[in-house]
Amino acid sequence: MKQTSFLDKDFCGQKLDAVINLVRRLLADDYPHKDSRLALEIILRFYEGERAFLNSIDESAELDTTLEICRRININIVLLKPFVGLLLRSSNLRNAFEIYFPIKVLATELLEEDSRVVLSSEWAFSPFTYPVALQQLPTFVFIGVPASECHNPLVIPLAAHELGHVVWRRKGVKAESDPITRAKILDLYRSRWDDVKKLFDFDLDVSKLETDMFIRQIWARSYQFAQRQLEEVFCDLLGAYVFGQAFLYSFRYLIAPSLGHVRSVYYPRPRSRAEYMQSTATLYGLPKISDFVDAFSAQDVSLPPSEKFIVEVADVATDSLQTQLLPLVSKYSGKADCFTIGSCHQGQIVKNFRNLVPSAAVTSISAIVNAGWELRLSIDEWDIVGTISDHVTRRAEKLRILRDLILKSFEVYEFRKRIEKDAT
Amino acid sequence: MPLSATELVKRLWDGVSEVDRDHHLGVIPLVDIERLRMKQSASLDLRLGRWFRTMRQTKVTSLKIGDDRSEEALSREHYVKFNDYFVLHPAQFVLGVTLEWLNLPTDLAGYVVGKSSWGRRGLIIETAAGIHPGFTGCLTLELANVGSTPIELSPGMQVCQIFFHNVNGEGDQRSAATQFVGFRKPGLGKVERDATLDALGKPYFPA
Repeated sequence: MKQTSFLDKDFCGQKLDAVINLVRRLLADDYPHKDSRLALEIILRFYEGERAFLNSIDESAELDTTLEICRRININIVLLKPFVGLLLRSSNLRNAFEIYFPIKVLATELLEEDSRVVLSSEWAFSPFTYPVALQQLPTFVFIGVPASECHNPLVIPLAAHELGHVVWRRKGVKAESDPITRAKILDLYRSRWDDVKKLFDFDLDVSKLETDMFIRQIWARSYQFAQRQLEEVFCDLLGAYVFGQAFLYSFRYLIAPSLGHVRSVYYPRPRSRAEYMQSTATLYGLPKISDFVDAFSAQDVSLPPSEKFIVEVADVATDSLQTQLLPLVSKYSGKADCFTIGSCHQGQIVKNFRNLVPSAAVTSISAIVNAGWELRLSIDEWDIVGTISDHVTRRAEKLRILRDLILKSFEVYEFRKRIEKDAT
Repeated sequence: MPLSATELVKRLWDGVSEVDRDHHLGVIPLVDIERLRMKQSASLDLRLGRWFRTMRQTKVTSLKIGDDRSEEALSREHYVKFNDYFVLHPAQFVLGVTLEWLNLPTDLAGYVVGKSSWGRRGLIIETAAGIHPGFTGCLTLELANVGSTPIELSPGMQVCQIFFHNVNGEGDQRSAATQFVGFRKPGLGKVERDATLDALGKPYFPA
């Protein structure tokens, strides 16, 4: 082995040892839920395997081979480190650990399999992390709540959106949806063929749409954007299916009027998402929230004409196909109940919350969260006995009590589920 | 006189109807009524919750009256899952919390005492801790190991019992309990100065 590659192998080994030591140290911590620990153990075994492999490279190895192995190991260190961070934060006492059990139950019901769920916090204020399917952790679902909200049970409906991504990919929704999306995109390109030719400066017959590599590259991007946009809408509709109006309010709480970013072309416009959610809620018989759609900024992005066209086609396709997603939500929601199943208990839970009593017998997490939102929306009319006269402090105290009532209700839900399971 | 099992059964909220805070005794998760009837005990057993709080060993040199430092500055939380345990070593002290959320009506007060079987093993729970009428929330438990053997505290285990008493007389009984309303975690509460203490601290003779 040449001196150069020996040094790189040595450096790579030192970095791996550092990562292995880090994961070992993290494993010595307390984890409130076993899935986080399990994920760390898998990551540790993976890195130890990489170390053993690196050690097996002897001096006769080719320079290129050694460097390629070092490069691969570097990539794996980079790829897994954010997940190690997420796993570490899953044990942070800022988190309301009572949220975990209902989310894990929901994941199991939606996916109809024993899922590994890591519920953690994120420093970024994106609602939740995108569930990247890691080769090393294929059965794991990672959900990251913004760190400042990880104690707040009222944002729990957004976890259903995140679980929706897993449903979309693992349960075949994507496979069912993609051909329809592709056909729609092609139809839209055909119908605007003159615009396409002018914008992209070519003069080909429309019959070349699917065969010409240059044209394929153009519409493939619209197709890719529409696929991702429809995935987001599916996840929103699944959230609305499971949590009803609570999903809409939690979405509004975290996102509206905007998070200040330029609109991502992989998402429909926030206002469009709100419209789709509102329409779905109406279909479920829920009252219209009068200012819901207007609460979101008309966020858009400034693009050159050709790029604008590509995004526009994706937007039109999404808008046209979103109504077809609702049947898919019902079809692929597994054993998860629609929010309507538990909604008859909501009024009772609200009355009990007003009297400072958690939910004692209700088995619907959706009903508990919706009751929480109902009280949150009328927080100023909630009269609690107490000596705090300052309005701001009193309001903050009421929000704190409401939070604890909801979280205690979750814990009681867990208690009952565990006892019932043991009895069967 | 503590309430009998029969009286307790009459006062316990069923968890389904709307709670009447002036009359119902709320204990959530709900009490197994049949078990209580069969046992005919004059007290309710309560279980240990999953949150604990210990005093910080660094930076906190002493505790004092009128201390405006936050709970987080003075102490740190711990969370222990079901089927796991918190080890309370000899001569150590920890705050725990009941798994049950209590809601006392305005005409009932209670006293928390430990379980004798645990007491014999060295686990002491604050004796004769009073619970005011109108109290609502989980009870903070002061747990100390005065024995010579470490004790494993498992969330969900029966850790203490409450005897309930009728309260006589009129008055807004709830206001007395408002400092600790609606908490699901163990809290330190506040140790406030009062006018008498301030008066006692002022110089009596001219300097």
